[in-house]
Amino acid sequence: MTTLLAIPPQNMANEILPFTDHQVTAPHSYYGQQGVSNSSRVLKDYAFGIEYIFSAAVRTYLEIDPVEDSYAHPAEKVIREALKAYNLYAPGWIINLYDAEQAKRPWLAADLLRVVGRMEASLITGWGFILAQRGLSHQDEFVRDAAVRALELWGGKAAKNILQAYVASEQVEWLADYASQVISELAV
Amino acid sequence: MQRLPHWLGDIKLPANEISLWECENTPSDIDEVVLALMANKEVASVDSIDLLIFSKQELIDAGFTFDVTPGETLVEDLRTRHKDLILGGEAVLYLFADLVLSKINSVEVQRVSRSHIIEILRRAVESRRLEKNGLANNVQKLL
Repeated sequence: MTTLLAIPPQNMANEILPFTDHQVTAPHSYYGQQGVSNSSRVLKDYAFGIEYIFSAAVRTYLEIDPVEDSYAHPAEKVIREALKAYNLYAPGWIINLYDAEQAKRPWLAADLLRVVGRMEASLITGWGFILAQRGLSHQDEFVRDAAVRALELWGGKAAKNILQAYVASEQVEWLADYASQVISELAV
Repeated sequence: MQRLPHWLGDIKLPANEISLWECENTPSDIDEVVLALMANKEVASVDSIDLLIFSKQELIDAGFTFDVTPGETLVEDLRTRHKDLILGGEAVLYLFADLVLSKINSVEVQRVSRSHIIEILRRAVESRRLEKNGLANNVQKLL
């Protein structure tokens, strides 16, 4: 699937056509609307298509393989490659995927957070902390645990501040203990 | 029929066994098991890990049997601590799954934090029980 992400735009159009309602080979009037450039429409369609493929790949890998402590997961590579190649779009795709899964399949949202937590801090910037904060407010304790784990791995002042703001509200004893331990161990 | 939890297939070895490490019920000896588990070239990064701890007698009383097989760890003197719990058939697998679930439900899971694991690995490298070069690059960078 990593290879698919590297397909140049002209080939991608054929790849995404069967999966989307978007007309990749659109009539002239579609791209010729006043005020909307052809290239921005094409880019929008292209990004939509890649998001579809990206989400399908990450979902499939997470469904097949549970995330094991400290062992590499195949979804990591897809997410890392996407964040490097499509750094403007990929954070949105990840947040969309989390939002789509968190209510109906919290275990998948938790595993997604755990895998995202393994990304280097340089790939995460602000959006990762926003995602972690959403995770910390989830009703499922294992999603909250995954968010704490992600913040533990990224470390730094922002992670510590977020955990400090959250820990007093945590009602599950083992998770509150763990979060407190992470706070004490995070060097800032 | 009761459905197996989706993660159980993940801890089951291909030959219908489950990999366990033996230790005394003391923090320092549990650290030895953590070292055995983490000193493995397949370990790609260091996350906090969860351990399920069983009394050996509890497993024997429940009818499980063990094989002593060398464990996959880079720490030579810990290899003999490894045991394979034999799962003869599906019924035994369900029995084990029940045991695991009861421990999880009663929160008998021990979490070992990332920084503690890094400390355990560091000590093993310093005392020359563990060759740093045998670990994955990402893990080496933490030591």
